[in-house]
Amino acid sequence: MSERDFEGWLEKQMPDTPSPDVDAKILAAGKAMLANRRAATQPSRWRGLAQAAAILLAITGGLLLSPWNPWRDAPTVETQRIAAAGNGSFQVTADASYETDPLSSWLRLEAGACTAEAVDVPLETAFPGGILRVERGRGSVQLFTEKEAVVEITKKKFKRGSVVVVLTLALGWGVVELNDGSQPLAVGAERVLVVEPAAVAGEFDVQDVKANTESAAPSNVAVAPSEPASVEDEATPKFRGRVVDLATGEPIAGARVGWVNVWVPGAGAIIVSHPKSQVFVGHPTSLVIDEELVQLPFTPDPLMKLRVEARTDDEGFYELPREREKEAEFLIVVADGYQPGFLREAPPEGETPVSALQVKRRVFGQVVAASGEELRGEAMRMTLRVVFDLPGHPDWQGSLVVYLEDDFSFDVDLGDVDDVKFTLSAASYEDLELSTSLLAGDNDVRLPLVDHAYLAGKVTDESGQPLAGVNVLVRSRARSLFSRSMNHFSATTNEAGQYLATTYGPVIEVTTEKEGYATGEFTKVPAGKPFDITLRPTENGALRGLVVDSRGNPIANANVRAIRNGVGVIRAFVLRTDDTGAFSASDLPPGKYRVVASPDMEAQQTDSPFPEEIGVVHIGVEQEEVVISAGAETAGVELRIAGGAIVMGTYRDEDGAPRKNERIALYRPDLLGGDHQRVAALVTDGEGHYAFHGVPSGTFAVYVEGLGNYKLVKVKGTGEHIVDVGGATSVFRGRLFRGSEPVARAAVAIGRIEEGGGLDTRIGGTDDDGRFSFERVARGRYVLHITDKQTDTVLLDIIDVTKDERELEIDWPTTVTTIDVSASPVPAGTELLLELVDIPGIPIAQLVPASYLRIAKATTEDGATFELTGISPGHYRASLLGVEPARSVEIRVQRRNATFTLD
Amino acid sequence: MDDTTWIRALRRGDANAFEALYGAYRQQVYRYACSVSGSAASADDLLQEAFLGLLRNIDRIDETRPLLPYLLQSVKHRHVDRLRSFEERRRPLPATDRTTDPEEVTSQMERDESRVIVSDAIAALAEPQGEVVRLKVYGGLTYDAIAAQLAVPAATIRNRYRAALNHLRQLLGRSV
Repeated sequence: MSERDFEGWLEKQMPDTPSPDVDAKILAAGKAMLANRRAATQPSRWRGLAQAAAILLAITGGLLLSPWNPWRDAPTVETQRIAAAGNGSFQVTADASYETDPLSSWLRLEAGACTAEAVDVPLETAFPGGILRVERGRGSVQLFTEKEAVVEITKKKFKRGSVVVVLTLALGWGVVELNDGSQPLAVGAERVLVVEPAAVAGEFDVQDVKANTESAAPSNVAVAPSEPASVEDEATPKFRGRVVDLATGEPIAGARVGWVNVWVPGAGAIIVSHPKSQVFVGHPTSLVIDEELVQLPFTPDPLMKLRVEARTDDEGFYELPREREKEAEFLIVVADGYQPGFLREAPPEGETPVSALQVKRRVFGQVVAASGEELRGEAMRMTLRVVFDLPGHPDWQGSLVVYLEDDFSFDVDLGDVDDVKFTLSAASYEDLELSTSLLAGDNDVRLPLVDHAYLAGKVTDESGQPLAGVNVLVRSRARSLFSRSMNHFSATTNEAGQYLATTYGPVIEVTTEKEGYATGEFTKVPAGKPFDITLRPTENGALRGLVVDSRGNPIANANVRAIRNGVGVIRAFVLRTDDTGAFSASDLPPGKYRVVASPDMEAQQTDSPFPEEIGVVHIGVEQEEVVISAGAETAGVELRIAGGAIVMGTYRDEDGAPRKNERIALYRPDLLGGDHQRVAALVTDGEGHYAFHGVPSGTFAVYVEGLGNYKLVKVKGTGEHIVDVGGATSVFRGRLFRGSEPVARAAVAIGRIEEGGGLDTRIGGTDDDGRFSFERVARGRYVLHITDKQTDTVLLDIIDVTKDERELEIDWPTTVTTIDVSASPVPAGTELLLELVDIPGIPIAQLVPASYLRIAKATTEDGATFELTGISPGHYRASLLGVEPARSVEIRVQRRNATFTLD
Repeated sequence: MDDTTWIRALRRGDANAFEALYGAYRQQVYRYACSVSGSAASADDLLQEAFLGLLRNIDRIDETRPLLPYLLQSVKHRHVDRLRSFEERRRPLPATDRTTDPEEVTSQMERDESRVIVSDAIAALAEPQGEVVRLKVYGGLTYDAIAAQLAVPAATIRNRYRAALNHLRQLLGRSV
């Protein structure tokens, strides 16, 4: 097998699609979230409040029922109150400089970073992992936290006409908009949020906002527009530079300087983005841009809004805050009459030169649909991509992506570029390549486009009568930079036979489905016009057959499904055998079918403690391909359910006596922590026997419900596998200490080491006194696996359970194992993972999931040593996480403190 | 449509964009989740968490970065989180009774078997190697995209991938 074949084989080993209902669930949840979002961004004055209140009501409903109810002691607030205040309050005053800077559209307060005096409570306390955002342009506040949110809003009017809005957040995720028209907003966090009109200086008494906790006293809100918030002052370093003409060295006054985000994906492409366009600069092999001024031969967008912007003074100097936490960022300089300058990272006091620009060519125009109709789809989805060579850098190729305006117009300044290619692309339309000549000069260019946003048409029968309820399935090509997959959309015709399906790309195939009519499959679908379909009625055929077992005896009540093979549409007809094992269907649309028969699994899988099946169940499946012809009967199909292996055995108690009516289930175990698949279940017969017939190859678990444990069996071919169960049991108890303290709430698992190689696992946990116990434990040798969640450390041992009762006192070691990495220190905070290699007597191979082998994790504070406490004696591998190149060492831990060196 | 446009559409609350984006990336994300977790049920959850997490964080993500690597990374992180929680590592056997119809059982069984074997084998590779295989084969990322995600030069990724394939073939020798 070649490497490519192997790759292909590998690729096929993972399923393509999730469980049936998962797609619908995700789409529904996602759309609901987006619908909330749409509602939240509508410019309605009160919608945000109403919506937040709705969120509140929805969540409060649940909370009120729970013991934890933050509103139990809620104070009553005035009529403006939408909901009661929560417990605890604090506020942030508005940042004056931010208020007056019209170009900063976002104020961003990162959790944990904002601990200035304006904030009474550190944000990290308030929003674990959350971010607060203030979108100035729309006058709205959006709050994001990681978890479920409860949002409460109190609106209060003050005597000067200002409005204070109190937001109460508890534990969660939520989107809240405060729409107060032109009222400026400020943001605070935790449970109460005070929003103040920062333009009005003064003090407001907010003592009405009562606090429920003693620690958080009511306080005043101070508003001081002239003083910038100290948050930025203290934390953000300044970035200074000078902009000069590259040719003459003259300072350029009034140039705009700001940060834009840049993404450097691997070795090659740079993407500079700003709200209106993106600039890609690619290079085939490598591209070093650090410290180098990158000249782009065009003006990306003269109107672009920089995230943080300053203007140069008469001497060409500028100063702007240096943005933190940005991995890669460009400084961009834009001056009238000059090319924009990009600088990866300038020295703090360095100069930022820009060169002179001659505007040679400007292209603008508007996009209209070919038919002259109104464009469907949105301008935001449409881009104009300009590909060009970079003068002086023959190896480079750049491209400029411009998002079209809302009216589908575009306006690009091409600077010195002569040789360019244009591509217009939009989500719902064909790409359109345009030649340079078309775009030369300052012409208004009207571009023809082919409409691929929707497919519409009418479905009729041969007499021209419209057909309602026809399923129309459309497959279209997905359009994305990183994917070439397909979209599937469906629509149903209305009473007039009309359908309208979203396509989001060129249509590949249309399939129709309607009872009584031939399935339509169309691959040539013209774009941009209605696609009408005529369906012909079909004459159906019939099917007859028999289901038998391996000895030829009929199987009654078997499931038979006739599955029609088709492109796009797959239909299954469900049939059932009668007492003679016969099945029939008289009304099947013609075509190729797969007929699949299997015994009735429902009875076997019932959760009733005594299923009907005693002793033996069949779980085999048989199938055959048949062709159904119009108006004819296909008969004599015989499906013999044979094949597969037999898993059988006897249940005996401790005295060796067979036990009847013991429930045994066959599982397809998921050893990696997922759901285990139940295949069949039965009860043992009078002799204590059980048998599962027709078991396919693979690993199965015979689960003995009475004992609560299982045995693994590896099934292959058609042989018999004897798995006897039962046997003598005992009670296994233990108590877990560390030093003299009991270890509470530790997870305790025991895994039986079977002779045949199975692993029989049971789970328990310690109580507050460190005690745990397992009843009815089969006798044998076990791996004991205890996880202490407090320290995230695992203790492993071997125990023998041989008598009626086994009691164990387990003293967790307090020895300290030190890993010394000082030979080559690592950054503080680096993690080290300890994984099990071998403990004598423990069958490592049976601890299948890799996660079972993770014993402990440690973090270094000084970058030189890691300390692990309570590691059981054994052979381990210690590996540093996130360190390149990988570093690990194998260590042998014994019952004493020891230090190991990791080079 | 490129990712930036999608992100913007999502920020505006465009449900159609979500459907299209889900359609475009679902397969890679799901297959990658299977390869990471080795379990179809876990992969279902990871898939859901990745996409809904994207919506939840839509205002925070960098719109200049491609989405697929972002989605894959969030699958990875969530999977690691799940492993850390003890319940996930050690779920008792009869935790769920997912009865399926027999035909699906059989055909799914063969696939499940190799899925578990393959994801185990990948997990047995030295970690950067295994991750490269998952991202490349199941996540559908290019070498460059993997390089950007793992912050390693593309040439190194290519070499690791080759080495990983060889190693995997040895591990899987009998099954292939």
